Amino acid sequence: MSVPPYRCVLVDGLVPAFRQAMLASLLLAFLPAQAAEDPHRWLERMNHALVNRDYRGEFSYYDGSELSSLRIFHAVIDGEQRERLVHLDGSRREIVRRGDQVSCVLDPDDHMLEFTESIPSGPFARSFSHGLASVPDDYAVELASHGRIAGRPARRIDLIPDDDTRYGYRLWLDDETGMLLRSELLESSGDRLEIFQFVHLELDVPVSEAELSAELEGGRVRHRLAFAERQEEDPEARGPAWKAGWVPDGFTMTATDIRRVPAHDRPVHTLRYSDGLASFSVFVERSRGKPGWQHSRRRGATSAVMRELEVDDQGRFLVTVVGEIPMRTAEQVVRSIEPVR
Amino acid sequence: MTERLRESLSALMDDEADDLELGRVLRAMEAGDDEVRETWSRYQLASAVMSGLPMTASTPLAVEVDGPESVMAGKPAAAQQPYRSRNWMSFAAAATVTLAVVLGWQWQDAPADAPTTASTTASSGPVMSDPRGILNAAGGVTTAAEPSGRSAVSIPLRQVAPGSGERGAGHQVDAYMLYHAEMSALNARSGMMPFARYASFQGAARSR
Repeated sequence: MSVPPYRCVLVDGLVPAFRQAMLASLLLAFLPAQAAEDPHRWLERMNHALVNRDYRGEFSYYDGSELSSLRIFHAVIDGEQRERLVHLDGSRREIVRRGDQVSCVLDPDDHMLEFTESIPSGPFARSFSHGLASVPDDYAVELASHGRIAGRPARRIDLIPDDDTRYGYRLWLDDETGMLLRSELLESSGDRLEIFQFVHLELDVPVSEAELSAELEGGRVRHRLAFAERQEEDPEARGPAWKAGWVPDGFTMTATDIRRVPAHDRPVHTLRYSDGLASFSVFVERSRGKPGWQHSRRRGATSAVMRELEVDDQGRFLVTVVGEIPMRTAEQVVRSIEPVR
Repeated sequence: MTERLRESLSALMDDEADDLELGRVLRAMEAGDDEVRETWSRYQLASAVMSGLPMTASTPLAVEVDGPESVMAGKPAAAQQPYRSRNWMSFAAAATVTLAVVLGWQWQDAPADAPTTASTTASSGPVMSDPRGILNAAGGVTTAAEPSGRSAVSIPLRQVAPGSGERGAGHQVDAYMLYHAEMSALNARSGMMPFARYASFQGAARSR
């Protein structure tokens, strides 16, 4: 927002003392506007609002083919992050966060349960990369147009990737609080892969304990996720540690772990990479019993590629890359996975 | 049935049996071991369960329940099966529930323009998971053993049961997609992202 051009006209026509006062107040009004032109400042306000403000609302999420509605409650109570998301369409799914603990609550007949035996379990490793700036290097950040979302004046901010190995983002932030109101994820052609938008939002309102707690009637299944106290490594897991021989510029490894899949008791090496904005995970396991398995899938923002990998003296491995990156990038990464010698 | 045989049967069920284990199962079936046959068909049922078919009332599940207000087939929380058990029925609803399910991940193949995919996840009703074609329609063992003593397992998976290998791969990829979202959700530490598969700002999260 630039200084209105009429300022000079106003000031010139006024009595000197009054002019002084007018100038002073206009200057004061001008300073925040200047700060408001800094996109980095906008992103900081966004982070702050997401974490520190209490709010409840409903939002829509579109992944390119499906549209969903969700309700969210967020509050900070005794310094602890509390949050709850409720899936409003179809299956009654909820996610509840309490500090570093996250729980997912499902109905026992939810078809999502069929995947549970194939997923590694146990405590999660924390991401260990803490040195990234709030605005990643490999994106240009630009303030763009004004708009109105969920009845609130908003400002659009574009995060434009330097190359086409990653996606771009468009954010709409609440003028008043910086709160994120709408977000789009874009591929290089400009197509939108994902849209998130608040339909209704109440900020800085009291949020009750009841609103922040999951509904548990009817035999619902609850699972808790949490960080491990320390990195746990399975001494029985054989085989090399792994890394990606190629990643797009700016991506670094942020976590590594060895996990077990409960149904099969097999170890899966997991890696995590991020450029500060986007992230992807790599899963490496022996391909015993699954010769020739390969698969590609893209769902909204998320691409996934699974390929078999032959390692000279170690045998065959199944490598899967999953992340909010273009399919082409995921395929390049999966082909580059190699053991750490 | 010995524990080893049970484990071999289970490994066969999820296509991880080597020749030794397969031979063990075949010999047991040929010897007329009814328990093996019964277990095999129970495993098939469990497979059908996890393909999304409705379960009958006679298949109680062990689930982690939360508090006295939760009731599941009359089973108390203490009935939760340990992970190391190969009992598929308890796994179907075991406590390992995935995150980031809020949006309802569905069976969807990669779009037509996606490069290089082997995903034909066509599944029309219950598929008896017998990718090696070992059991004939009556549940008995086929006699397609080669003279060298190696059985039909030497046929590559894809040829014997077109679609089942890819279905397995697709299923596994879906599972990893969910797991990736779980890790993202936990590490993001705030906001609705990436729970709703939202643009996740890990760098922003870290700056707090």
